[in-house]
Amino acid sequence: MVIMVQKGLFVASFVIFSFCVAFASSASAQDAGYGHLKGRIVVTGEVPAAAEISLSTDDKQYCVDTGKPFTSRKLLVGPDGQLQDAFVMMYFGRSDKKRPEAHPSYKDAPSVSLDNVNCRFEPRAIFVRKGQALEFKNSDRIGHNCHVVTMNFEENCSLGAGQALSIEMEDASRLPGIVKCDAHPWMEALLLVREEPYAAVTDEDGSFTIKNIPAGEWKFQFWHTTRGYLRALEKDGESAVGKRGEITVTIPDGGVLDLGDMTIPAEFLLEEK
Amino acid sequence: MFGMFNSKSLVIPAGFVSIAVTALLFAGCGSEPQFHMNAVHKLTLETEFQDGTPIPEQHIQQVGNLLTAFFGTPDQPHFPAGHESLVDPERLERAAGPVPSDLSSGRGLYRKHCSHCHGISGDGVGPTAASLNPYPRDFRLGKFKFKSTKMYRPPTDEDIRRVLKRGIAGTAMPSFALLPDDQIDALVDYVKYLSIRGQVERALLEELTNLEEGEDLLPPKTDANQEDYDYALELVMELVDPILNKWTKAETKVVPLNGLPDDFGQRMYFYSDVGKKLFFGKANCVQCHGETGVGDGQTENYDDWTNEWLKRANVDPYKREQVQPFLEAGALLPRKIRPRNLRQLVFRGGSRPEDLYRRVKAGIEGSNMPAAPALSDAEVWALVAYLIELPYETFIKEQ
Repeated sequence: MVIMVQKGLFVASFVIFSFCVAFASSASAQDAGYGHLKGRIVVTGEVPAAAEISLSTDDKQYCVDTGKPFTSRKLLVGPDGQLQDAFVMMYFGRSDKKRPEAHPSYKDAPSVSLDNVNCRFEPRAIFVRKGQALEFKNSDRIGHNCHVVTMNFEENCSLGAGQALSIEMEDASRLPGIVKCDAHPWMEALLLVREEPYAAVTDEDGSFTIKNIPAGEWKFQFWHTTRGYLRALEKDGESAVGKRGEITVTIPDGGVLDLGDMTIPAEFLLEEK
Repeated sequence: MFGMFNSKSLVIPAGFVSIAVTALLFAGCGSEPQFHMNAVHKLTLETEFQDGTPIPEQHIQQVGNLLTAFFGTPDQPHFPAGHESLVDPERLERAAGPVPSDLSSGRGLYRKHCSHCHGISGDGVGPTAASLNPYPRDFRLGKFKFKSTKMYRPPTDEDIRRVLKRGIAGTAMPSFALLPDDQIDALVDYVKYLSIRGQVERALLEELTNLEEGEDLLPPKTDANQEDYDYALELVMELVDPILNKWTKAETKVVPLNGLPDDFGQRMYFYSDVGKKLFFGKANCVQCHGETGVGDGQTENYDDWTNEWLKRANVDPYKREQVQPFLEAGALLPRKIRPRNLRQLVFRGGSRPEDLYRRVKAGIEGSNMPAAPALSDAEVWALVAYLIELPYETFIKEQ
């Protein structure tokens, strides 16, 4: 068993030592034995404007987005290339048996909600823990359904106008799945369900922060819906990840590991599989 | 049967027997059919995870070896040890194998009654499949539409038995009610066997995309690698066991038939009116089944069996050059799924009130029909009443 583990580590390791470790000031009360991980993903090169989604007259009646253009949200990039809705999650090779203990602060985590607004899911990408309930809301004047499809868990419930319901995520998956509404085929949210609390979705600024990770060596993986594993991710012009978009990091005890700006070429994200 | 004859020829001296065997082979009825690898899923995974790079042949071989070790062959099937309560070895034996020429031994039931549509592997692409609409079910996803259990939970034995006995109205699936009960039971277990085998195959193929460089799903066993081998097998069992466990627990996931109003029969018009309001309102049936209930509301979707490759491999169904490789791998031409036309009084999952109750309450797995947890039992029964009355109603212009 030991032999296998070492073999796996040896091959998959892209150990990043060069990232600066900024130790947190005494003001941010950090627990001994834990540290934070943060960073930002930036797209380099030109990303064309998102394609418009054509709506039928019926759909327009209920799905008007206050005059804003109704465009695809598959690839959302900020004015300076900030990549939104990328997932950063712990990566476990097949033989990595070590799993992190969840920090006590995750014990009473607030529930995660997913709203249907103007026939779009809000927010567009979410992370939920196994066993946690996902609270669905429908703020629209029209009915939707909440069709959850992940690798290991599926559910499909009807959600009438103005209603709410909660679905417990019974099984975790190693990659994000989707929530879709079958009545409105363009509606799709990304959903990651994991046992451990250590994952994040990049925000409008392309940034992510994962708090209170047990100090020590862990692998993290970067994923985006356009291409899956972000294996073209670079740091200072050098490839930063393995073929599954994974890096090995050492979380500092009581500190913050800042990965800084990592870049991904636009042509990688836009290339058809 | 190759395997069987080969092993026999080891003990029986060559001569008369081997001549007989050779003659049989050339006659075309002696060659044993084999399970086909799920090539569509393989291609999907290669597209989804590896930008089209093929999975190495040696890894595919390892999946094949594991499947044979767990499940045997179409002529000599067996089931993972310790799970005989799920699939009975004797029933499996009876359902499997070639159809005997004298019809007396009672073997070969699946090949006699089922495989021409559902295929030897249960992949739903038997010789007749492409010309049927809807296509025959591919059992390998482990998904079944018409059952008493919750969505995305396996069906009970009784659910499969009912489909075999009654057939599926509005499809090519006939009734096998004339078969003796013990033959039906054997086929029920064989459907479960093919389904579970298919699910395990999918899980193992999926795991191949997760292997580290130089790692094997299950390395060839040698004297030196006992520890590695055992560990790899342990990882494989972590994929297999949850599939078996879900099937074992199927009975506990039955959707109860609650809250049938005492006056349901006497006050049908009342309940039907309530149901009609729900149809257009809270339950939102109108969205897909359309304002007149003919199933023309949302007709742009595909079912799970098609989305399985269409969506995961990001295939545009209108681009033939993208679809073609999947057809060559064994997929059938994608067809959109139609919401049921509720005016025909033909309900595939059965037209008893309890069947309709379960379709509304628990939804229909694999289709786009959602469950309705937000509706009370009384509301679901009201919808059932409306479904019974709807075909006799003149076309509705407005709600």
